Amino acid sequence: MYGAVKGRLEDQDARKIIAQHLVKDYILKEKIMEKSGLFGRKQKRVIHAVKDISLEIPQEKIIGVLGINGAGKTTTIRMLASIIAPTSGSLTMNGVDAVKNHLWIKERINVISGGERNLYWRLTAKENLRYFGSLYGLSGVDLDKRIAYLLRTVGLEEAANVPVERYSKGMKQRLQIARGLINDPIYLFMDEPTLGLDIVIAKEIRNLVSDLAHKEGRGILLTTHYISEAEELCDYIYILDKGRIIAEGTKEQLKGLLAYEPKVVTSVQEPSLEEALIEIINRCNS
Amino acid sequence: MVSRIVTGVTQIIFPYFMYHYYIHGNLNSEFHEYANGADYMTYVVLGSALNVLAVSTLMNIGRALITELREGTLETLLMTPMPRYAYFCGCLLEQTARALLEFGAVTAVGALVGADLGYLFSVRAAAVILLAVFSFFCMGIALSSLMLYTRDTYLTQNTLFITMNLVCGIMYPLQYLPAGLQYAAQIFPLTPAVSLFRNVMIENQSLSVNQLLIWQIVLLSGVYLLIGTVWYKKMELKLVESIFG
Amino acid sequence: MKKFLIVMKAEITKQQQHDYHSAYVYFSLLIWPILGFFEVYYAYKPFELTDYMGIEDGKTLLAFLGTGFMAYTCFWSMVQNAWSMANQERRGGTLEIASLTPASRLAMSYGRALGALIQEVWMFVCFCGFLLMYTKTIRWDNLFLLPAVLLLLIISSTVWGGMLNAVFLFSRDASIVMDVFDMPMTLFSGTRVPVDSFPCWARIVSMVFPLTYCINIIRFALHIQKSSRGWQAEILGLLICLGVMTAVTVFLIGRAERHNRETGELQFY
Repeated sequence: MYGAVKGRLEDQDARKIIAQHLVKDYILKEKIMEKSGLFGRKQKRVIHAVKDISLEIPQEKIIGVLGINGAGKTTTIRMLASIIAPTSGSLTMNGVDAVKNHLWIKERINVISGGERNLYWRLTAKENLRYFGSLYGLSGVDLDKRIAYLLRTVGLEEAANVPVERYSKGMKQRLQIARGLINDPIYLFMDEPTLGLDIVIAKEIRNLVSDLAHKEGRGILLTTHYISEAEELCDYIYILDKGRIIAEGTKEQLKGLLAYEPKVVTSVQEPSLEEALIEIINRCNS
Repeated sequence: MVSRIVTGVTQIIFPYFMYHYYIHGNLNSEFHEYANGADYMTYVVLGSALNVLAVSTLMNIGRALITELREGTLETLLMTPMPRYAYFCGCLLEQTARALLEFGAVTAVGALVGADLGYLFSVRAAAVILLAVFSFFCMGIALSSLMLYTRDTYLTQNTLFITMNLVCGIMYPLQYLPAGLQYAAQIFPLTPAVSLFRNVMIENQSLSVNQLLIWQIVLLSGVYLLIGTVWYKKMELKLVESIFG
Repeated sequence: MKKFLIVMKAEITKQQQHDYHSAYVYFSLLIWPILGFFEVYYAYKPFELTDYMGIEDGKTLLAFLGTGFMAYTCFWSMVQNAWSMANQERRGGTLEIASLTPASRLAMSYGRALGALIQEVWMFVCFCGFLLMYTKTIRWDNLFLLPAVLLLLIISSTVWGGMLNAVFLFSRDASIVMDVFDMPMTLFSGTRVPVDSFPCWARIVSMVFPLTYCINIIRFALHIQKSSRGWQAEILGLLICLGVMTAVTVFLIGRAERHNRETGELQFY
């Protein structure tokens, strides 16, 4: 039972995160040097990190967000995960206003990033999970059972009492996933979860991600630079460029956008998702 | 640099508060005997100023190589045929101006709180400062190898500096300490250097009457230089193996 | 409230697991303070001690410095721990992850402070405890004062540490706080020199530091020194300081949260 998603709602329309016309502006303070005068002064500049984004993340689905660096993926994830408030637009999770109730939202979501950060290296896996679980108000037997279940799920039972600094990259990433599941989130935001991992471990992680959505019923938003990963995992993909969604659809639909384009299709084979992505971004820029 | 000046100045301010506000200048006879009748604030300021010079030199020379190691530039340095002493001398020259600035700041504050520093701008005082800097430089080379060996700067340097503060007679005459600590203090070049500096600055003694102290500084410098050189050569071999191996 | 306590307990446990047997802790909070303590003890040696403000001989001096250093080390460990943990958490990315959770930031700040205090200061407090027994400041008949003194120190240091954690946790580089709170706090709070001997301006400065009231109360309770202001004034001063520090902590955390929601960053500047 410890893997079951809490808060399942019967109303299918309410079982999703819905973002409508999200906009995020940052104010950047820049130093400018005056022609005369020794000291520079600061000038404020507004950066439009996300210009207009509307998307949905239903439970039981894996939604991909793809785009080149600087496309606005990180800001979008941060808004969807209620880390930052949007400048304008609306965001609801299972019918609840996520902007006004961000603490309520934080109990029901989690974020998993690739790489080796975000864990206490001197602590063991168990100690890490106990600490992060406590931050969600979990304690006692419930927390112990949850930790045992998660360590089993990610295959770290044997190394549960080993300090994280002795873990391999793959083990650390699996522990990251366990950490991200400690509060049994309904929605997971995964930022390049297989970054820097070898193909065997990456495959294991992908299988786990797939199970989390399709078997356990969580809604997952995935960003990745590995197009094959998106192709394998994502049920629906949004392509971002310069803070806007420039294309969306299933992988077949995205490839289909280019299927009859003689410039792109040079052979009898259908274009790959990677080719489609590059072409869509190029067209948008031209 | 700022924190070293703050520490040096604080080392003066504390005794100033104790001496002026708390004890109202009431020194015991032992102090007069041990310090050869020196004025208390002058005694403390001279100790503190030389201590700042010691800390600054030791820190900059001692940390030079391990900083290169941490920043990943040691690899490039080890590949070059440069003479290792030239490297350390370069570090010394680069930092001496800063160290003297810190020394100057502390003596200036010292003069403000009443220290008599009339002999500071004499050839003798300059010679003592140069000799002291040389001895700190030699100790710094040994410290550099120690830091490379322990791969630590923070614990090593602070333990060394706090121990030197306690035993080298910076704030009070050495004779107040238990006999064992008085002997232990002699292994630090700062101990004879502070005594020499005070003899020259307070009593205007000539260098020739302080030959024993000068020989002690020279001897300690030689020993530290030898330890540092031998140890560094061994450490370099190990480093080359660990970096390129 | 239950969740608040769970978070505090988690922070205390994490501190213990994180820093257990760390050489850094033993050096910085045991060996260095002991060496520093004896340096100050010997710095008094050139002076003629004449029972002025309660210090009449070597033993009373040890008791005076022992209480001062004990309280100071508790407060200083808070500064040091807040700084090092904030740096580590920022570098390790765990600060970011903790900010994703709905955990009370106030509980996290106080939990960290209390954890550091329990983990790091007990060794030096034991040293000072033995020193006070050696000087017969603490005897069988007033042994009950020791837990009272420790409780006072724990509460005051935790509130102080909570505020520093709030400052360090949400600022990129607050190392200037280290400089501000190290030497000036030692000097003006009366750790080494009785505050009553200070000139008027220095006594006014000393009132800013909660450590001053803490040390004065402890020295008064242990009959080491009387306060010219009277113990009631010292307790009132401490209570006001604790109240102000709590208010500052709540304000800082609230502001940092709002800033974080706006920009996604965990620092003001």
